[in-house]
Amino acid sequence: MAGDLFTGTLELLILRTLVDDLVHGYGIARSIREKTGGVLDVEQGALYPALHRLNRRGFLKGEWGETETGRRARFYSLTKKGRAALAMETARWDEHAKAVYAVLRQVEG
Amino acid sequence: MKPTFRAGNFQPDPERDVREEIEAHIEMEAETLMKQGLPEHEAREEAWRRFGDRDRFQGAAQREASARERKVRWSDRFDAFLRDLRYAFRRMAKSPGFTGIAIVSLALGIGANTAIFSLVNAVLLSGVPMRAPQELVELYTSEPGTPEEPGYPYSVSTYPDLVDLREQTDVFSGVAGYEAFFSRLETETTTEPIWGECVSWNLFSVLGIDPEAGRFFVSEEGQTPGTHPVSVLGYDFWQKRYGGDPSIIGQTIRLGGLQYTVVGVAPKEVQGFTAPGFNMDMFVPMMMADALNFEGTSNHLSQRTSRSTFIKARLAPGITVDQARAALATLSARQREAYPEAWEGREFNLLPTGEVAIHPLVDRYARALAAFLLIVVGLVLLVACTNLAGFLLARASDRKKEIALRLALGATRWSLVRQLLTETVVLGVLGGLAGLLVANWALQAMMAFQPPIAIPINLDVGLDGTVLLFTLGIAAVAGLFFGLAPALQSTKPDLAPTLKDESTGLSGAQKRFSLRNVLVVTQVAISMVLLLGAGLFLRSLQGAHEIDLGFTIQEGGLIWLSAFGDEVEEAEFIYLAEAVEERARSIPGVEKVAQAEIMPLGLAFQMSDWNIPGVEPPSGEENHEIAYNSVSRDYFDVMGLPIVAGRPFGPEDDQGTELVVLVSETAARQYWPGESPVGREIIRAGSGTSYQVVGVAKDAKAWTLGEEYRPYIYLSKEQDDEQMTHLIATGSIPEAQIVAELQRVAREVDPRLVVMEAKTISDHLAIALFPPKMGAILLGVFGGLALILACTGLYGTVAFSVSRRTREMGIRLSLGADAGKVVFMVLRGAMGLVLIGAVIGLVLSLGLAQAVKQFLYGVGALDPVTFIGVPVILAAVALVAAFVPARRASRVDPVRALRSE
Repeated sequence: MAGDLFTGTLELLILRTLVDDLVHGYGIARSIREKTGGVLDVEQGALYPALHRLNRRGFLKGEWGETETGRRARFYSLTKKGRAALAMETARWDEHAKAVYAVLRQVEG
Repeated sequence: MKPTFRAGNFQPDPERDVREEIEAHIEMEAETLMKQGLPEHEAREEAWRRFGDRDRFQGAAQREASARERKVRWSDRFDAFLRDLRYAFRRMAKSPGFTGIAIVSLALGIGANTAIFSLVNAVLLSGVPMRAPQELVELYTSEPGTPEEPGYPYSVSTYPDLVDLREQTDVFSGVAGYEAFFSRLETETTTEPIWGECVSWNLFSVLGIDPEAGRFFVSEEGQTPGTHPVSVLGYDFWQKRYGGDPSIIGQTIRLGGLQYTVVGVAPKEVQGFTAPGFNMDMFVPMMMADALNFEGTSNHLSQRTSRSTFIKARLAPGITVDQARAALATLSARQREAYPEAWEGREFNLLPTGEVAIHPLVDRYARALAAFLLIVVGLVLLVACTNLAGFLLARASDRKKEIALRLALGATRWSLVRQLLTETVVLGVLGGLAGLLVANWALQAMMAFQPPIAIPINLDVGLDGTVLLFTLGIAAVAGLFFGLAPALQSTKPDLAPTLKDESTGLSGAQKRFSLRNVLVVTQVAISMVLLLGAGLFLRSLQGAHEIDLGFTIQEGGLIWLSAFGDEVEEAEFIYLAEAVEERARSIPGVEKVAQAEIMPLGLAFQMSDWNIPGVEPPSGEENHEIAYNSVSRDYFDVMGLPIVAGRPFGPEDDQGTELVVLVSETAARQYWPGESPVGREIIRAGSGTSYQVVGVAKDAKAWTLGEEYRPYIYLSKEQDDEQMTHLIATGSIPEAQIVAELQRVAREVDPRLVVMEAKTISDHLAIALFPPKMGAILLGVFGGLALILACTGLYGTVAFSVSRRTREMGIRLSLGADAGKVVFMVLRGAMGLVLIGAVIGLVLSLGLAQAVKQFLYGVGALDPVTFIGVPVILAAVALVAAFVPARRASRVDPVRALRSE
């Protein structure tokens, strides 16, 4: 998948993953892989620049904590600003997807 | 996944943060893979493979994280500052008493500093704004010394020398000069005295000053004497006299009998160049100097002996001060050769303008006085600050448990110190703002207190940027200063003993408050120094009042009359002055009237050279230089100055009869010891005119209160031609009324007579009392302020120590101690501190008293009344301040005291 579109998509997916939970980086990676049925099983490392970019922009906050197995990890959660961004970006994604889908259908038809 | 958070989440290193986060990711992925059956080694390899390009991702993430961290750190700091600020205001609101005392005492301390600094700033620091001031230099002609008196390198020059400097040197790009003049502005109905400066046409362009309106002078106006009567008005004069009307430019005004065309207005900052505070009414070209000359003499501009010109010059590009000095040495040598009479023993001297505040001669004294005043007010502020530090220490002890708790909960010491300091700096700044109000008020009071002299003083002592910066600076420093020690002490991390109840101890109570004790001792010492100073000046004022002036006049009216040489001939002036005297005598309520050329104990003083047959002049001198005055017949009667031998002037001592003089007792004793001077002859050097001594007048102070009586000669006003006289009148009506009547009479006699100054005799005598009075007022106010502050501090310390020792008192009282003994015990501790402070203050004062000795009248530097009286007063006030809280100690209810803690 192409870089730009993919970066935006990855960030949207990260935000979506964090809607109702505190999750650490690895957890986000697994969740995306599972929910997309492995289709978007990208290089996991790409997740981290995205996470920290979102963090810098104030959409996420990260705090160190312990996992159930006693491992130290950084847990991310959505900020208010992050939630607002998710809602807006989801709507935009919908429009975008509809437009792309419409074009594709025409070509098909 | 329910995480548990650790305390202390803070991770200050974002790079390490990201690295550890990624490592945790790999571990978890490897764990998952191992559960699926992969061996540990392979699982880890697979996890890294799935992760991808580690360097790239980790680097990108770290950059993002660092950027965030930088942003966060600043906003965190700002948040913390706001939090500290809110906390500070909350705490201040919680103890309004302390906050009020703190702000008021800081306002007084800072206000005093700001006021004095504004004065210093106006006189010594801020001058006329000039272009490239580092290139400007002051040029002087030296004054050769005599065997008795050393010469002086920085004296005034002549106008011909200015021209030579301009034309015969090439080290200056411009040479300009100025000198003050006095004249009068005439309209159809009024005559007003005018102060101004004659300036070389290029003065303003050399200094780089632009006019407020119109123009300054041009080259053409600086060439031929008397040809260009033009004038530039001073800004304030323009505002005051013409309401700032720009249409005055182009109009003519009548000045000393000549019409001058107004061509411009000087900017507000340029009040004149002669001295700070002398606000010149106008500037005219130097070429008009002879026309304006008060004495009516001419040729001033061409005479090489008429020294009254101040010279400023701008160094030519690339020329250093040393090169300019070398050029001056060459020119000086040439001048000595060309004009041996005028130039013998003289040379040009140069000082960079930046090194001269007023004039080299007065700068040293002005700076010393400024330093003295700044030290005095600095001490007052120091007392205020130590006082607040004392209060804060007491409060800090109260908060020790709270602070210890917060330290135990993980707050850093720095964050607590910062919080406490924020509070004191806020107090400092609030005190500073209030201090500005105090300073403003004090300055207005000071400026209203016009020194009793004829020249209008208008110092621009506004609170300008420099002053505001100064105030803000000392406010913040004061806040830090009085807050730092308490903040550091109260956050000392000795948690364990503090968390236990520390106030119950019977021992160590003294030791723990040693810092407070040091503060009290300091305050008492400073108050002592200031109060002793105030005491000395008060005694000096008293001494000044008791000084025998020689004459007894106390009240009356006084006007200073003059006229211009080109309008009123000397003989006519004498006639007119006598007419005024006659008219004044007929004013109802006026009893006696007399004339004198100068008034004793004023700012004027004159001496002339005499030969006394048979009496050798002092070694190295050709003549006797003796102070003299020219007075009318009734002078001795009006002034209350008895004639002790011979006779006063009589109607027979007229023009055309034999010239006569009276001499003072000291003159009689010095020149004719053991004999009567009556009938002796003295000869005026120069003219060779002979005078016969007809009487001896009692000695009187001539110039200052502090002087020794000196030889003095009285000439007869009727035999001495001068276009200047003072009319002195006494009577039964109020002084001010006499003054008004004298002015009216003078106007009626002839409008060409100029009233230079009109005042009451009391006001005139106040000139001499001015220095001791100012000293007593300033030091009295500041010393009183320091005493009040110090006593508040002492009260606070004793009250605090009593409240800390309630339990001890309770035990003592329940064991049968006498209440009086308890009070005594507390007082003994407090007064011990006072004693130490007082002794330190006394010792310091002994040294300082020697320094102010020369300003004291009729009282020694170690005046016993002061050095016994002041400590007694200070001790008494301190005793009261300590007694009030000490008495509380004796009223402690033993049962409650023991149970409470």
